[in-house]
Amino acid sequence: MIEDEVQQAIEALIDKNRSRESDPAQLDADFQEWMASAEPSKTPPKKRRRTMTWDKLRKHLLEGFGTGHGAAYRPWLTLRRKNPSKSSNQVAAHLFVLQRHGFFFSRGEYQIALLLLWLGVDDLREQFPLWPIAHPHPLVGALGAEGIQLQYSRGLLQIAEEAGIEHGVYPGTKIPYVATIDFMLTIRTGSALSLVAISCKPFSTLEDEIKWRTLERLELERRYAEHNGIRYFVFNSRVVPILMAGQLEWCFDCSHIANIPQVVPALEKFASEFESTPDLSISDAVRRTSEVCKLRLEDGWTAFRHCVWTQQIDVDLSQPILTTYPAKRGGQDLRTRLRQKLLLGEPT
Amino acid sequence: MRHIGVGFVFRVTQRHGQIQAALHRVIEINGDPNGDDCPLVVIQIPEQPSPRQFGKKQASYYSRGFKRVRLETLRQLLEEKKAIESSPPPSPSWWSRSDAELLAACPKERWVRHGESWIAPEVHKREKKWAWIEPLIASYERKEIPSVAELDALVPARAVELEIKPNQIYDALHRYFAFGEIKDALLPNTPLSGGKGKERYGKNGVRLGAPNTAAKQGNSQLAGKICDEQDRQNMRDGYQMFVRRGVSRKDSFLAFSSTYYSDGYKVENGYQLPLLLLAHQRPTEREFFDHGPEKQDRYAMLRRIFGEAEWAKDYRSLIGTAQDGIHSLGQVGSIDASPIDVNLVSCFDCQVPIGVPRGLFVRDAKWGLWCGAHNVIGGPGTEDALLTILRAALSKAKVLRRLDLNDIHPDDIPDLLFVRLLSDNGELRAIKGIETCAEKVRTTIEFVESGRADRNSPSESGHHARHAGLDHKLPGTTYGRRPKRGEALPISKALLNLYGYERLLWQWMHWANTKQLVPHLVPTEMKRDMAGKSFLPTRIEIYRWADRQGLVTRPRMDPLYLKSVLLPVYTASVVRNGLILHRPRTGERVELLKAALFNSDYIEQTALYHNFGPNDPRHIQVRVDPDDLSEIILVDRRGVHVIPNVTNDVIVVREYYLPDLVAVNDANRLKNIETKSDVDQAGSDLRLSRAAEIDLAQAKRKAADAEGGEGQTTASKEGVRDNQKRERGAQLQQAAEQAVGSKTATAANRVAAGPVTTVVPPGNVVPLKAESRLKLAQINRMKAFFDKGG
Repeated sequence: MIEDEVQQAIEALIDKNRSRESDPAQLDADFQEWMASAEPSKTPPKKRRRTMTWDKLRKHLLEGFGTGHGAAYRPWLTLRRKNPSKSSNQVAAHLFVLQRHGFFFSRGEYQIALLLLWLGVDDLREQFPLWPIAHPHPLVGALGAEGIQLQYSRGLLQIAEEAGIEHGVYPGTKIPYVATIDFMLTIRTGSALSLVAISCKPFSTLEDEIKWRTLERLELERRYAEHNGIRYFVFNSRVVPILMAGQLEWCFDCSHIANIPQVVPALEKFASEFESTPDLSISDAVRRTSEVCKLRLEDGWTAFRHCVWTQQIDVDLSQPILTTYPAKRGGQDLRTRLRQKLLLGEPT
Repeated sequence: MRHIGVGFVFRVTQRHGQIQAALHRVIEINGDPNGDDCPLVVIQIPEQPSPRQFGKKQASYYSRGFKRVRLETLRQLLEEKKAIESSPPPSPSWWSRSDAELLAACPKERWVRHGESWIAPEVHKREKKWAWIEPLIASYERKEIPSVAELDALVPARAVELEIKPNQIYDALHRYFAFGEIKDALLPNTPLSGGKGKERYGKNGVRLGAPNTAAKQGNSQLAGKICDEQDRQNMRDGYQMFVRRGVSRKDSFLAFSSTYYSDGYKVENGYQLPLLLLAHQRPTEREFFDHGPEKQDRYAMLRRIFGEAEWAKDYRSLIGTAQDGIHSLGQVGSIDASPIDVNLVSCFDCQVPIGVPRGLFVRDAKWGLWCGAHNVIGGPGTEDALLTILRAALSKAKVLRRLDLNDIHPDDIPDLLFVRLLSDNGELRAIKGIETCAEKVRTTIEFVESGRADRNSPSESGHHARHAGLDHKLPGTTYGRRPKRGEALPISKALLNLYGYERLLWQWMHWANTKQLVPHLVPTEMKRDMAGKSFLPTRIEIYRWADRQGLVTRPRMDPLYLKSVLLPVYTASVVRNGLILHRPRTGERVELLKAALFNSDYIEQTALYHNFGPNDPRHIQVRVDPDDLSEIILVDRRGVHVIPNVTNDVIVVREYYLPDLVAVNDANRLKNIETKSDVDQAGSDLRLSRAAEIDLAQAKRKAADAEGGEGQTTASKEGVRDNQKRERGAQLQQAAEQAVGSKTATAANRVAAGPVTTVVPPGNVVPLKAESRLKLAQINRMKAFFDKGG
């Protein structure tokens, strides 16, 4: 009796399922019913916005990016995990001369920065913002610029409008883009301060194919510089020879040696003693000079590299420095010529 | 006076009448050459036009026909320097070749049948043109016409006769005379004449070539694919990839089809098999072998097939290396992480595999000098990268001592804090990594282009050398690949622990620095300087020489300061006897790693334990080298303090890594779970035994109280002493009774010791002698005495 009941129940269950499987119309109706019952989510999942927002821009400004001078300067663009480059190496460097770290978006820019610091610029501000709205002159706040009457700078938006060039916005937004120039230099000539703006581009000849937008950007930079009385140059990114860049970097970490107190007082004597033995090889001369100045050999090499950086010892950094050979003179002359040509725009 | 005769070549610099400003040749003198009124026939010599500029029409290359000029006029032009005597233009090199040579230089497929033999196509053209003008030339040579200039008049009739355009005959005729009446002047100007070939493609829905049977019968769907430029490109690429010696045409074609013309895959018998597109939706085998061998730019093909990054890495030509511009040792280093390719076992249990750790390495970019390494179980992060930089910057004496490598001199692995470090966009590319390096340690980080590992080539070559020289020779190695079919899983062969691997690693790095001969890296300056002195061309010798010559860059940094900024930060709990580290990355939960304890006089003197509020967690941040638990660093407002490990377990101090401490905690937790049953059972047994014993004692007490109260204890001191005296006597009596085998106990004993059950000795027990019983009683007595603490 019980067996019969179970058997009937199983058969009924099988029939029910079979009818559902074999009836596509029923399946479709079930599906439609389920779809109708499923409520769409009222609050869509929150996505992290990667585009620029006014809040982000404000926060960035309040944190001091793009402002300051000397050691207090913070570049507008920095290196972050999310902005690697597919076209060039990026460099986060410690700028010993300026006592701060800086960000360069190509190795060429870094090498140019080394050269400019060697040439003796008063301040170097990389990734310097050309604000879209009217703002104080870029020289305002610089040490020694207190008494200078500086006009208010026009914003790049206005300059672009006058030039008939599109200013540009952050992608996916209507927020005006904050354009940057690669270098803004402060140069002291006597007691006068002046600014030089430099844009580094990878093209080397006039025949190079250049994107139209790149030319527009360069024109905007030029007009901005012109309006603010800033000298403007476009450098080829490879303007610094590899050899010279390597040798500049070799001396760069000794450019600021205030933290090595035993070396600082001996620098002047070290340089004059070294210069008095022009026929000795560099290593022998350093060894001898260190003994004379009562410095350890390690400190002697530090003093040598510092003096080469400051050109207290006249060594041509554009020629290979082989320490088993005598130093090649001509660095001071080279520095003067490069300074005149690259920073002051004077023919040599 | 200059002699002007037939063959005289002159260049007119300014146009004069019909005479163009060009090169000309005198081809006939109709009169007395000594007289002034002598008419000449001249013809312009065509010169090769300048290369055609993009978008401009090709310059004319046509000889402009016969011109008449008087001898006097020519002389005047020469005198006035409006014309200058010139030499004929150099004739193309192939004009001087024989027909056989031209045929040999021509690809066979371009040969043209000429009667019984073959000729080159340019010879064929020459013969054709010659046939056009040969009757005209013959009539001129037979002097049937008064002047060569009259030949032009015969050309139209000849053109009608040949059914070609007259200008074709004009061109051939004038070229013949312009170049000095040589037949080879009718050869083309260039060896490959004609415009650039243009590829043909099917258009308007019609394939090239004959329609197939299906198309003929009206089934246009099966007509086949109309190949476009992309298809042709695919065929050329596929041909380069798949057509190999020893592979049949069919297999090559199928390989090509499954690569370029498949639509997903199906899974069959556990394999993923590509689903080919229908045959009429992909090129045919014939098309593949027809268009595949077509010439193409192999360089571009490689770039296309491998992708930009792979191509840039392996195939592009290099204009420089990562070593360019490095002047000194220590100036530029490179840092990178890679798996060590060896499965390891745990430090505390050699049967527990822990997988393949990752290693971070720092080496000099120019000479490949190994400076530091750090191995990480799990994925390396920014802190690990900073730790590796620290490893490279500090003396290796401690590391080597900890690894018990006492025969390696620490100076053989130099301590270098590089001025610039090449890095990929990996572990260091974070705000913490960038700012710590660039601001605090003053090391410049150069991030190479993403997808361009070749720009950090010193690291990549280092990984390769290390894998080949060490990792792939160890048990449990993965060989840097997935195990092949039938191969045992490498993890099952894991044998070494991290401590053992690091010992081998540092030995290998020592070998690479001091024993591996690298004569190709020795600079010529060093060779000259060391001339006459014996030296081994090893990395360490280069380093030592460079150090003597001031070519080693060492930024000045205090090692303790470096530790205080580069070591990773951990949280520790302050307990009464020191600091105990927390297990990292547990969120809010605190798990103490109690296997190691750190303490120092400074902790005691500053009363650190008492410096917290009553409800504040006693937690502080410390810097810990996870590979060296012998000490930790505490940074506070008073400075940087070294807190040593004061754990009694020497092995923990010397050999344990931080992950080992974590693993010990885990192992203990696991052991707790596994032994939970036994532990609970033992606890329960103990508790119930205690309860049972107490119950029994209470029952005895109750029975004794019920018997009359004689045994009531006295609360006074004297009473207790009396009781103790009586207890000892009773115990002695009981022992003696037991020793003599007394079967009954006195009532007093019964009160003191409780009811004694009668024990019947089993049959196999041998009774002791009387003296032995006495000895046993003495022993029992002594034992009871000691148990009481007497």
